[in-house]
Amino acid sequence: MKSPRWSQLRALAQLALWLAFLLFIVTLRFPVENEGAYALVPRLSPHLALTASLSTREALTVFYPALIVLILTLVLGRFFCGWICPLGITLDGTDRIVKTGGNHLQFGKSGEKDLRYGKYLVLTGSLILALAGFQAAGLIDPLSLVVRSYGLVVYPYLDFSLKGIFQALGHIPGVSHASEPLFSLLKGSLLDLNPILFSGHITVLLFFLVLLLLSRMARRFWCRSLCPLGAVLALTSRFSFFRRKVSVEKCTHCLKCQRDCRMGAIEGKGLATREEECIKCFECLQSCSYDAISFGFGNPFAKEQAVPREEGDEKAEPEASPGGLTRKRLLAGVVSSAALVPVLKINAQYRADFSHLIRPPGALREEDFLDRCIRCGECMKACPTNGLHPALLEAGVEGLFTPRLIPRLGWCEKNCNLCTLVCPTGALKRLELADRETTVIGTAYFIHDLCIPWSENRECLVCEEMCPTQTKSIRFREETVLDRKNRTVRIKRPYVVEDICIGCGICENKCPVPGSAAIRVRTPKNVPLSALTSQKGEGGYGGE
Amino acid sequence: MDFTKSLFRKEFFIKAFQVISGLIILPRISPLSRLFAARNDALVVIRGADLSKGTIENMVKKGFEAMGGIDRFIKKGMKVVIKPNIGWNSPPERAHNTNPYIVETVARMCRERGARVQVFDRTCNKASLCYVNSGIRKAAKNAGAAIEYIDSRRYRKVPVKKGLKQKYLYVYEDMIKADFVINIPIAKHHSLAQLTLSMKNLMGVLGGNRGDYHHNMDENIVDFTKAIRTDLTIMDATRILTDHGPSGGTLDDVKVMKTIIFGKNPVTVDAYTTTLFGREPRSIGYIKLAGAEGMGEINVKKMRITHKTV
Repeated sequence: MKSPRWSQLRALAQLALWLAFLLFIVTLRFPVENEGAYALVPRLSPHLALTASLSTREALTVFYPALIVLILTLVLGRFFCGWICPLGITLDGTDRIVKTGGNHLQFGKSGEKDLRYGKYLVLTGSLILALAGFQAAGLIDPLSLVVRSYGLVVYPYLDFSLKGIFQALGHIPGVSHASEPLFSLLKGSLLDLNPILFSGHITVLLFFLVLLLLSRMARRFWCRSLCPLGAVLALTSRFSFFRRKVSVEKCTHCLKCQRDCRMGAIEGKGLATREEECIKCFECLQSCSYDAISFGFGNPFAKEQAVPREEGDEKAEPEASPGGLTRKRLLAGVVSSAALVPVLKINAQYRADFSHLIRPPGALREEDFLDRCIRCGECMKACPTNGLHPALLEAGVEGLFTPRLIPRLGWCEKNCNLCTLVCPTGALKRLELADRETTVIGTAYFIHDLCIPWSENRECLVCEEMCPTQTKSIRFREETVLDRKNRTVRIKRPYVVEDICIGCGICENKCPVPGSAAIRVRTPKNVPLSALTSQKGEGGYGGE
Repeated sequence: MDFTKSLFRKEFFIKAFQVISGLIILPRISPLSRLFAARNDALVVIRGADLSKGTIENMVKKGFEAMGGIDRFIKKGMKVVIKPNIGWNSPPERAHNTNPYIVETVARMCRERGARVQVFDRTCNKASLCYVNSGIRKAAKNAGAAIEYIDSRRYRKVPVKKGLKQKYLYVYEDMIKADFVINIPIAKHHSLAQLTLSMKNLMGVLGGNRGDYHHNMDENIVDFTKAIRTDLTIMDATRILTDHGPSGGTLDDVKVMKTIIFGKNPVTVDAYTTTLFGREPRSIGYIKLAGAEGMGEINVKKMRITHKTV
């Protein structure tokens, strides 16, 4: 298998997959016809499969695509990183923009070649935290992270900018005749029908930016040294069958392939390969002027790989531990991860004030939800009212980037179950539309100091009009009051029937009071705390 | 004598022919035609046997026929706006939105006359879901009409002549530019306005914060009707929502009336429709006000009503 076209083919495949990924992000909205396809991307990650299964203490079979990736990796090595991972594609694509630091990382004075063992430590950390019941994996898993970043940051920014440009063009006579038809064509296809924005988007952006800028240290620094999914695949592919082969006769040790390798996977005098680092990008095929390199199936357990014993070539030997992960480093990683558990798990924030933390319909009990949610943000992107937003610290550190409903920005639409359809893990349990009308996510309450019929003695009742419950959970009493001119008038004053209210929040959204609404939705009031969290007995209202 | 007699007869027949043909032709060519049929206080009330698509189609056709034929209203090349109620993300059985079969039939009849047809509403729930789940998006597409989402930039300031509360309103551009506007509301209960009918349905073409209109709602609804021209109102009373409207209600609150009402004057149509709810027109604040403002006949006994059944 030797063809100089392979690396071009890979670039084309990456472009095609990137476009497919964009299509997936853009069409992650109403109507969702094939929910399995929408949930696919995060389910490809064995890292998420592992951590989510650990933190929920159950084997999550929905992650079967990850198993396929793992099996393919056993054969083909880390092809996933080089060909498929949307984050890898993004990193390859942005190399020139971030002015990457080149292919070689020299880190620290010690002459340490690179920080490859870093990714194993990250993986160790995320496994230990998962074991301790903190799903941190979603924050750093590349698939979760890339879906979240494109869905909550890249796409909304693009949508916002294009709409702004078209709106500006629409004001220019002459130009508007051409731009307006194009604009209406784009709306509902590439662009969203409604403004789409996310509270806390800057935090999501920072995560993404830092990751892109890491390439300034070296190309694909993230993939080499930090990515936990990369670590899982690297461990799997150490003994993969599909390997790089170098002809001893033809190789002149010019080291051009070594200089061109974006993963720093070529060792020694250009003959040896760290298979667990090679992402099968085939760049070396292209760069070799002597036709010395080929890829093919070989025996991964063969001791000798036709590497001549030359001076300074000792690194060519496959290391006993992957990527310089010594026992000492591993121990340090385990200890520091364990030390992180209380730092991240202790959650006074949530216990003290979870009253306005509204989870999407179908969400499991708070603790089970946190165990299972991988923070991919698919539910938020899909929400047709743009009501779901990434939590920052509202749910504590452990709730970072989990979805919460902000009714003032978008209510929970009746006759809609989109978020539960696209959720890849079942943290939002699939909700049938028939059950939607009785699924309680919150309870509305009035703030009389703001509410127009109470504070101004004037008619309003928008909330009652909007209320979707069958027998109206917002009702009213006719009361005799004095209006502004001290005349006696009869007006309708609304109140909430808490037993019926499902907390959809359309009342809060549509309340005509400027700024913060006069009716708000809080956590379900008539639902026992134990149904919301499993912290029965400790804390809560249980007493000593 | 015989000769004169026959001459007299001949002249009589000629004159008679002229008069009769004049009576037939004149209404069709003169702007006075409005006097002859489809007068402002005229209503056509169609009752159907069931709610099937076929029956509703025939009801609509019969209605236009009784109004003097659709040719009277719709001419080739006209820009026609159909304004149904698509406000809520609900299926037709819940009686929150206009019956899609009515929209489809009206749109198709206009298209067959060679008109360009637009269908839109400013929804309360999310537009994309309302359009789909109401069935109206599909209905409009079936009929070859353009089904469009509201573009928030395209409201125009329109003065309200002799407005009771509002001096001006922001009205959707296409509504103003249309050659012919057909308002197709659904008759529903509404806590604040008591009933939401054709006049209240006009709120769906207004821009701005509509919450503001809930204070002095009766006066505001009268102002909408003053400022926004509609040429024909087709009241969907195939199913009416009798309680917990305009967005809630159990299936018990939905009453199957199998009725469609045609009229040119929205006030008159609304006044008549109240009777389907067992109400007096004058018990509805905005209808009483509109009557007092001389905007239309609200006394059911004085209306010229044609009843038809399908």
